Amino acid sequence: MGLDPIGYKPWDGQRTEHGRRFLVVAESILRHKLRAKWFLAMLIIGTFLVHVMPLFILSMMPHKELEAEVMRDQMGGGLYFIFEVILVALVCSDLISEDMRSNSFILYVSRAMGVKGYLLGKWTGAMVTIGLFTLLPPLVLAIAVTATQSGSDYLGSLAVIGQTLIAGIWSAALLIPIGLAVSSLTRKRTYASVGTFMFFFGMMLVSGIFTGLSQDWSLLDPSQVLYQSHTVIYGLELTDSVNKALLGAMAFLLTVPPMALVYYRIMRKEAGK
Amino acid sequence: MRMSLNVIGLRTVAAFSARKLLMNRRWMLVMLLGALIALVMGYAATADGANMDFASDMMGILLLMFLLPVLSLIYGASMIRNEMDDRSIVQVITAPLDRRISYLGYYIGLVVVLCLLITVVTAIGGLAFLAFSPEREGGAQLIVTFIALQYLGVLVYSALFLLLGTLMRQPIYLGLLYVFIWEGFIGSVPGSIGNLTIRHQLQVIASEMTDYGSVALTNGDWTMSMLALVALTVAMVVAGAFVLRREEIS
Amino acid sequence: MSNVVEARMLSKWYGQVIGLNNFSIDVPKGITGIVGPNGAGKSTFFKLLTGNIRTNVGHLRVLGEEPWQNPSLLAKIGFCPDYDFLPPDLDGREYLRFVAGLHGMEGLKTAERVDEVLKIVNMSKDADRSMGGYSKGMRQRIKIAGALLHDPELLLLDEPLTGTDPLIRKEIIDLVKDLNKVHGHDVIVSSHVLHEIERMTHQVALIYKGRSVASGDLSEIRRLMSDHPHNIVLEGRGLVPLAQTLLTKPYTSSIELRPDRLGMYVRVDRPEEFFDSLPELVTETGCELERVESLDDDLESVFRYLVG
Repeated sequence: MGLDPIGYKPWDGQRTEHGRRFLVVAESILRHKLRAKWFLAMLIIGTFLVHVMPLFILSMMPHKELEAEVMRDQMGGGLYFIFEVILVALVCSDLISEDMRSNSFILYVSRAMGVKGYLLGKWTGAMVTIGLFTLLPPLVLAIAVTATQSGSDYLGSLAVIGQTLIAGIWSAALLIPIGLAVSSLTRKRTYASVGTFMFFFGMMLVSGIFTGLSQDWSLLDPSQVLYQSHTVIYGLELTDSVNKALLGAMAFLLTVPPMALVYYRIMRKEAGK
Repeated sequence: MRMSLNVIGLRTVAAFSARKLLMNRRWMLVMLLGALIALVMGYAATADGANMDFASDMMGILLLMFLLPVLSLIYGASMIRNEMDDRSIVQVITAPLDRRISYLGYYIGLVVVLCLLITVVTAIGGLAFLAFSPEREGGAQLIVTFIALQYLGVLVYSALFLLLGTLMRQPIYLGLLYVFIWEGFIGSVPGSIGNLTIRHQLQVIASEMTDYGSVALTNGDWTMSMLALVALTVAMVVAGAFVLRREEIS
Repeated sequence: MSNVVEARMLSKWYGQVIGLNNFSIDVPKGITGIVGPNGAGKSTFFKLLTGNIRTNVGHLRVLGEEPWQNPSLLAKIGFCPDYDFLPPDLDGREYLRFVAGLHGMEGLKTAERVDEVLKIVNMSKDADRSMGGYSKGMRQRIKIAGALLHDPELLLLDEPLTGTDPLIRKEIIDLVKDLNKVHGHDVIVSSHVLHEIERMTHQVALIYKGRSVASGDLSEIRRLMSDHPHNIVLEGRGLVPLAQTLLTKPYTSSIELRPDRLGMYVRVDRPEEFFDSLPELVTETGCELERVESLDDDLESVFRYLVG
């Protein structure tokens, strides 16, 4: 054991631009989730049940081209929604709650990132992770159906593939804010998971009860909001019973206020009570 | 001497675990849910044709299908698991009390708390409906029927989720899968597979207890359902007790 | 029964991690200290004694009985773990009533007993305050009170001094001594600091990486420490003449002088002789010493020596 003092040398390597630092957070989330047993199990089961079986059926059935209605129904089905909710609950439950519990915001905001960068990183990480279910498999399915079509309108099918890309991103973007918001309300990730579930299924139940009174209540159901917004994305006609303004309002309410709530919670936590 | 130690110990575990559950801030969430249910039922009572059948259907959906299993999951799955995770269970397992008795104490505490919460929420929801509904006859009886039915549900669900919490490190996820996928999704599938849920058995018993709503039309032998639920409850409580007895707790 | 604990070839592993490895010990009546660095296996040993976990291999007797799945034995043992488990919303008295209930104690006599143990641990004044507001020392004392409540034969105190300030440490050490001398309890107390245990008892067992390294009277173990080579760092001015003089001494193994000549690293075979002669050597050579530190006067190096 020598007596030499510890040598300190400043870092002279490359530094990532400030604006791209949120990607570090996102990458860390993706790596962490890909090691989580429950997430992987649900991803595999969900992908198999929701996407793999239809992939074989739709590819093997005779078809002229990839149709928008087919993809809209595929991505608006009940099982698709349920598995997406499960995955959002699994992915988002600890993203903010763990940092609340361990007070580790300081790790992020003391490193020239700021709360906005932190939130952007968390949101991006969740989007990429959930996209492994909402985006990748539907794209593969769409490409497979296009590759096995008997018709020659590949351009039309490509357009539907493009719409599928947007729908896949939108699917994740619609549900993730609620997951993050619930995660910001508690320090325990298990409560956050349950809370996320309860929110979505509670909304579905209440919507189911009141839909008998008025069709507008059906848009209280997030799965209906998803289905109808996919209808818009795929360029299909909305039925007359769907109130377009209400659809827009619900899409807004499920995305913007929850993210504002997360921002407020973090600012309050970081700045102290 | 041993008998009195076990009885006092059982009472102590039950009382303190119930107190711990009630002092936890989760009761605020329960009250919020209760307020939401009251709001929904109160509003629904103002709709045209709102009657006891409608009230029964709503209680079936909101309470039997949603609140009962979810509350049992939140409280039951975390009861022993939280104590194992924060190691406060050390007081119980280093006492001269058979762990099987301790487990029974936890179960009793859990059941008491859940019954209390369910009673409050059901009463608030039911009274909110009656307050705004033009038809009130049979309303009180319906509320009491659903409370009694949910007490039975609490016994079964508590046994299930307490066992899950003792067996698994992350019981919530499996519990959520059971409640929302198995009971929610598979339970709605027509055919006999839909009968393999606690909810269905409760609905069969409900059909004997009330003439209101779609639950009254559920097919099945209520005595068999009752026996099945009792047997399931006893089996899960006994299993949980033995798991805790044999579990190594670091 | 002369030994309160008899352990033979105990092994306990958690998956790939070995907690205890062929660990054998006989713990006599009185106060026994279990000393070892963090991760040595002290807490694993305590968990085996209370039947929280069971051995994978080996034989263990506590007060003549097998502890695993033996709840009646726990009536004779009081356990105070090293971690914090006290519910913050209860006050001390309520917590002790809870522990009393778990031990089948109820009625008027229980309240008297609670007052009695609160007095023993000097917590009567703060017993009706919420435990969430207790200091570390108060929490330790209430935990000990909980372990004492049912008047056990054997007390197991796992690192009771960790995180406490010197004043509280003294109080707890005095309490432990009284628990044996005045109240007649046998005590097994663990720590990773030898001199803390030394203040409570001379009967110790050293544990390292799950193995029993040495056990018996402390003076015997100290002698073992004294016989092993010591590395000492000296810093100051005018060290070269001191180094030259030290090289002539029989207890010096080697000397390494720092390039700036303001520090040196001395390896000695007999540290007692070195420290005894150092003041005279400093005066003789006229050097100015600013720092003298023994790098091996800690458990890690003792264990390394004893197990090496």
